[in-house]
Amino acid sequence: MPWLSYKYWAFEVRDDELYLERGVLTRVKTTAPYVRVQHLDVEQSVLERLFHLGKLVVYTAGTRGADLVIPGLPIEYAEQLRDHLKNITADDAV
Amino acid sequence: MTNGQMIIPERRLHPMTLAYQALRNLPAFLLPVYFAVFQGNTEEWVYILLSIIILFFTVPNILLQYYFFTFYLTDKEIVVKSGVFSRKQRNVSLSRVQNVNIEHNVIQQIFGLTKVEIETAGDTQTEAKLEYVSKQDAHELRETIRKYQSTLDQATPMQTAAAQSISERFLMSEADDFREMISGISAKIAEPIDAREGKRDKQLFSMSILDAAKLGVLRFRPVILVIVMWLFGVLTQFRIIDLESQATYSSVQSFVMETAYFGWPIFILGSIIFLLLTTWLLDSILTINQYYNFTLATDGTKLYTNYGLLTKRHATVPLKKLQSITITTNAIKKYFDFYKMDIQTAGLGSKSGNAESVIPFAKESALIDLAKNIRDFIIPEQFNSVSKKTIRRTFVRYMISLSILSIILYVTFDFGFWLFLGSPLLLYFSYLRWKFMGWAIIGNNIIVKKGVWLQRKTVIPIEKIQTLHVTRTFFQRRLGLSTMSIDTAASAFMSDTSIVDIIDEESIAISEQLSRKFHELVRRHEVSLNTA
Repeated sequence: MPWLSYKYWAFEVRDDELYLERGVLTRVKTTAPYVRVQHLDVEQSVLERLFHLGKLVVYTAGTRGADLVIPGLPIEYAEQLRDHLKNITADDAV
Repeated sequence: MTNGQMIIPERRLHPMTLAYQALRNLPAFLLPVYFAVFQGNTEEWVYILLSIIILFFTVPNILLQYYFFTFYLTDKEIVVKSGVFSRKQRNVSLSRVQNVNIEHNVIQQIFGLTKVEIETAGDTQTEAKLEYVSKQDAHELRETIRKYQSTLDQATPMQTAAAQSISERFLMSEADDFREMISGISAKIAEPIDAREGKRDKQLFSMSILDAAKLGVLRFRPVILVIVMWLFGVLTQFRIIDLESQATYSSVQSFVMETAYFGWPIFILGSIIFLLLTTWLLDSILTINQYYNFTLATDGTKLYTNYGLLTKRHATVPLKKLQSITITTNAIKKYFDFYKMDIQTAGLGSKSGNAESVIPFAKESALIDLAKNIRDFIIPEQFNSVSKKTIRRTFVRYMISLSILSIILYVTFDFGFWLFLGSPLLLYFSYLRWKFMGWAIIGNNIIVKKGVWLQRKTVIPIEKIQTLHVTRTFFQRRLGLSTMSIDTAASAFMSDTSIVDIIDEESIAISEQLSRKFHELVRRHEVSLNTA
């Protein structure tokens, strides 16, 4: 199961939206436009810290499935991605 | 230290709050006394003791809460301080305020009290609640916030398409008028709201008492049924209605029993009909009370509703925060051409989980005409339908539930397989479900239609979409189907906007179309980053 869950997990940083694909039995594809991003977090649990991993949490103002989580990223990459997305969303905000 | 110019200096709630709270807590105190005195259980001093204990705790509680609760209003923020042991101070910046609801029921009216609720975006709960202040303070609060927000609206060019289209129609021509109204508002506070708004704001819709009665007659809420049943329970419990001793009732009961072979079923049926009738009547009365003198007005950027007979309600819906519009009817109301329109806004308080009803009921054509003042949209004649395979899926799901139910019935009561006689009906219902489900992308909106009995059309402005989810369960994947959920910042209750069981290729096409349109609209209208 973890292997499958890994296999079906994918994300894409597109020009103007973030795209996620996940789920083994129920597959979900999510698109979140950058203009809708409220804020971004990088989270790390104890276990994740051991493996130098982290997850990126993208918050939107939506009500259902509002918080998009990208788990299992190398921590440096997660932080990079956060900064990158922050820049894009900041640009769009103006 | 205060921020901004003081408008209402720091003060406690209206002193009459004490009297009202005492009155409200009276039943808790009197109930044990009732048991002790009127039920003849005079030996049981426990009840009296209970009363004294309740009294001992509630009275200081009311007094302390009152004494330690203060608030003040400046032209920038409202501050509420509360708490006896742990002090809490809440500063609400006026720029964050979405809604100010003013409410008072008949008893509060007698005491001269008004409840004010201040709601902000982001939080699903009421940000600040003042129970209770004087009528004058309530209006001062509301007008200060209105004034603050209107200067804000004029300062920022960022407006949604809806607000803009209205502002073109009303605000531009009435801008001077509007400004004058705001500057002159403090002088007019004593005037009733209706009169003032009728004069200055554009009234969009109103309901007469007859309309409210019509709505009441067509309304039947299960909640009321539960309340009626509970009420009967209580009444018999307290021997206000004594079933055994009432001569008429028991004679009817015995008459029914003796004459008919099916005595009990008829008796039960009669009771049910009686319950339903009472519910219906009560619901009608409640509806008239609720929607009495309903008016909907707009000043171009906000909608104002004003209604109620005993409990008066005044609500504000900022159009800028609009997330979706729902048009609802049910199979019976549809026959009479009665439709209801609700507006969901971002993070509107969790007030009974509902969005604000802006039009409780109107003919469909009239309603759509009115809706044009809020958002430009067209309801198409023909909707795109979802895959017919959904009929099969729905039917299978129904049959599984039916099988489980009949097995349970069989095991416990030794019958139940006759339930399967109902399967053709379920098949027909599955077909209806498919027939009543549809979607359409027209102009800058996506419209989702669903529901067989409760028929709902949700209009979502495309630029308000937060995220799009395409979900495919294991079974859906085998059939090549997807479910598309369109998420906005509207509160989740009552706004199920998923399109179930569309063909995969279609779902991809819809996502792409929505995505394209979204970015186009965002660029065109410079929709602000935050909905808040």
